[in-house]
Amino acid sequence: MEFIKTISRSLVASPERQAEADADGVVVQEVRAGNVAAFDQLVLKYRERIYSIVYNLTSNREDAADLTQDAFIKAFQSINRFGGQSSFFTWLYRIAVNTTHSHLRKNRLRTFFSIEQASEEEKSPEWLAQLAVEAGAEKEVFARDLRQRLNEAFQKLSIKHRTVITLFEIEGLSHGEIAEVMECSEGTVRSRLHYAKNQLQADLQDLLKR
Amino acid sequence: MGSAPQPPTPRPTLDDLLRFKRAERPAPEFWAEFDRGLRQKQLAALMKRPQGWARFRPAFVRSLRWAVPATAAAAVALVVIQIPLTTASRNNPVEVASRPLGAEKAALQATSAVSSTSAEVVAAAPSSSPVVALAPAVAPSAPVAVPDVAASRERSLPWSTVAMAEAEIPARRPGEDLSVGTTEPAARRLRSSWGSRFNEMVQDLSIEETTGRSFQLASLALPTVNGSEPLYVAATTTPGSTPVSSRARRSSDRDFRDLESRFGVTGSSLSIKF
Repeated sequence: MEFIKTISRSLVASPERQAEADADGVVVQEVRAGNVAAFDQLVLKYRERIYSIVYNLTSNREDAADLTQDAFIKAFQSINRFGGQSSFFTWLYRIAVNTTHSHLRKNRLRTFFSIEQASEEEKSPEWLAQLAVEAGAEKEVFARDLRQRLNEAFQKLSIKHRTVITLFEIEGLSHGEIAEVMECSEGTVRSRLHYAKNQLQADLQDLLKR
Repeated sequence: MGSAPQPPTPRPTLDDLLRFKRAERPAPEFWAEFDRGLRQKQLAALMKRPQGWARFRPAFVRSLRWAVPATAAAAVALVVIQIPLTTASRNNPVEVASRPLGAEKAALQATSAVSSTSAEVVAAAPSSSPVVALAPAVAPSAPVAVPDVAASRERSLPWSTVAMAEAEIPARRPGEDLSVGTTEPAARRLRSSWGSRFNEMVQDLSIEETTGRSFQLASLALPTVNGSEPLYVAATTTPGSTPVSSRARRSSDRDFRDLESRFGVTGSSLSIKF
């Protein structure tokens, strides 16, 4: 068991991740010992990341909220089965991804409801204003349309390709971490990532730099 | 003068677009609602107890972990035990009725008169290598195809219930033609209804090469005793009067080999090659 733990720890990308995994381990032990309130720390820590993953997979903010809650409930219910073979966030991501995949398979036809707010630092990239002028639209309106367009492009990808590019590009996970979450090889992750990027590139060709 | 060329419109890269998408965040008030919903679901999960079947499901699944292999092992053991028992019952020795050759000939003729099936041939063979070939149901003058495996001291015979008696058969001369309807005294006709059916069945199943050779699907090695060859006699000499089991000496299981499906019985063991 120790050997497996050592191997899994070595898959963690950075020292920050390592420290994060250790801190999570302590909280998980508290929850297992009966301190239910300790689970709130984990929720506060990961809710935005989990929501972001689920939202980018579903492109529906309502579904994303429900599925994120479901993922946390599942994690809470089965936290005694968390063996520590992988880090807690990998385990939690896997629960969220699997829950979302299951939902997407059941509900293939859903309308998209984009989030209408962006973080401050990314609100006004230079190219966005220029493209808005070129399109003859207000910047906010153009930004909303662009988000819709990006969501549509994401939804054209298969679930697996969408998951890989979301975890890599949006969430910033390493290839090894994505492989652990998706239970596949790193080669498969790289291949899917390459394919997904090519697909997006082709779909958004009219917007991109030529 | 011509106007200066306009600077190209800045275009985003795919990374720019992905960064733009990454920046999508729900409003802060969203999280208050989210936490409330999560709290409700968490409480419901804590209060919820498995109902009905779900209460027993874990124990049932745990029991299946042992019950399924145990049942499978019991079934396999039952089959393994059953096969030797069946084989042993078939291997019960049956006393062979020893009758003079004349009686055998009479029996053969009687059978010949009754049987309406096509002709089968019992061809004489060298005493060291007796061969009975499975002949196709063709005109009496048609030659019989001799399989290559004939040299391996095997003969193709029905493995159904036929009675066996012994009859002296002289050695076949070299170059002797094995044909249906031959007047060779060593040739014997088999008129077993069971044997005929089996032969027809084997003939249907036999594989004809482009050269015309036929392959046998099953073979039975028979012992020879001092130049006298055991002769299979149909169990139709006195049908109904005597049980088949008392009239027929079944050949040893060791003698039977199925060449096509690699099915074989040796003593009390059954072997199947795939």
